[in-house]
Amino acid sequence: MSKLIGKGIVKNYGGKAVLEDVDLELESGKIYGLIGRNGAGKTTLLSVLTAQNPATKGSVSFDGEPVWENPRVLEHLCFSRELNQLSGSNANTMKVKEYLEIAAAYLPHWDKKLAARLVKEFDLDVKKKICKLSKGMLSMVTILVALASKAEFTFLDEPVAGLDVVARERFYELLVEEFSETGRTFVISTHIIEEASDIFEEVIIVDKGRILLKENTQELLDRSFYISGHEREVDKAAAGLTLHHVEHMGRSKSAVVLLKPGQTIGEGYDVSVQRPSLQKVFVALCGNGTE
Amino acid sequence: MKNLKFWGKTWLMELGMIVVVTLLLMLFIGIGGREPDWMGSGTAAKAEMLLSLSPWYLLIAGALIAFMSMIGCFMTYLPALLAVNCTRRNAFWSLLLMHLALIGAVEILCWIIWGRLDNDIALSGRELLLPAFGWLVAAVAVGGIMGCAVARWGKTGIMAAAGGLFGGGMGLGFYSGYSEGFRELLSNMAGAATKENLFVGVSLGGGAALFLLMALLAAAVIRKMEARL
Repeated sequence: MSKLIGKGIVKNYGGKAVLEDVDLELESGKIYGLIGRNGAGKTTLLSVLTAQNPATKGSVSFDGEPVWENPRVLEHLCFSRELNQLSGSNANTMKVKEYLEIAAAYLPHWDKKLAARLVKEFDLDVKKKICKLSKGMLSMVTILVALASKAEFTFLDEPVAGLDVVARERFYELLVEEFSETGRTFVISTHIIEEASDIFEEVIIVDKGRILLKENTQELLDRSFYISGHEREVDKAAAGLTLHHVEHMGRSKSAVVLLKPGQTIGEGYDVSVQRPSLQKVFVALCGNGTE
Repeated sequence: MKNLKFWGKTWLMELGMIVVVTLLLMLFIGIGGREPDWMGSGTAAKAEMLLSLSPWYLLIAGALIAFMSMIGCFMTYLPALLAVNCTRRNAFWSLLLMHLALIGAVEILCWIIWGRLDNDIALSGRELLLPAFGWLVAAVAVGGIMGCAVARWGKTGIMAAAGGLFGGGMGLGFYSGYSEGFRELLSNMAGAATKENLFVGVSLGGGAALFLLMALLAAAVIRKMEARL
């Protein structure tokens, strides 16, 4: 089983820390969801893990070998980042066809047939410049490069941004098909958490440059509860527990709790206890109002 | 192999652009030029004149395209290559070698054309091929320095670098108008130009020095470059 390990990763931009002492271990054969608020450091983390961006401090290794400037290791990785018409980079004056040719030349496991099939399926105009593509088409290019790369560890940055719901469903189908056929590892950063949560085996939450949580998705949801009721009752039922995203409405109170091993919610109190969605857990952890 | 595929294609495309620009220059000169009487009269003489001058146009086109190509590579190709796992070391060396191969091809073409002709233009041209290589190397180097500026500081960088070059040139021009000592220095340098070895040495050495400076800057910039599209 291959492992991509990041240790003590720090990334500063102009004196400001975007990533602070990040330790992360990714195993092969899984689909990871990387979620975080805007500016949390998701894209920076992915780019450092794949040596597309130098870390200020720390190291990234793949099966014990450093990733940085190592073509032998880079063959196993692919980072298909979110394309942006207004990125300010001049590289997006390139045509889609040129970009795909460069990808085909440099990604050693490039699947030409799959790429051609996806160009047809997505109805991509490959003669268009990247900066002239619609938001949806940009996402399709991101997805195409990621899937056709056939890299053992494939990272996708916001692949569904700009896609309509039908296209998003198709992407998830393609992803699961590819995963079933090849067992490749996918790390997908997304803001559309609810749709994608079903396919994430593990979820990684990034907040303010740090890894807040990395856990099996089902296990996380199993220990997460949404409690609501009268303020007094909620406080008694959740005594000793950390409350996240506490909301008050008059005398009512609601919060999300994540139980640690050995913890339980008090029984016999007049409170409603429900299972929150992954999105609600994320908002609870990364929003305000923790008690 | 993958490098050769990508950079080979780029080299071929840019060589093609050089040839096209050369032909355009020749077309404009051919349409507008008068028959020089030292070549004799008639179409054959005009054709020989154009052919004799074509390597000079090749050199001008080569310098221009190589200069622009260096800037273009920093702006477009390098970030894209890094985005598809090209190592920075690989990108750096490929960039330099491709451009040296490009101007090398221009030199070879000039040598072939002048080698087949026997007139004064061809003879003097052949003697200037070595210093011309130095000028081409310098053009690549200046393009690379501007490419580093744009990679580091974006469009502001290229404007600053262009402004610096233009301002420096204008400054030298004005200074030479006012300073007798500077004018004397320029005259001595022009005189030295007639001494072949010194001229070749200065051209090649100057080009090499600029190229080395550019290579050091490029290595530093590429190392920190972020892959992005």
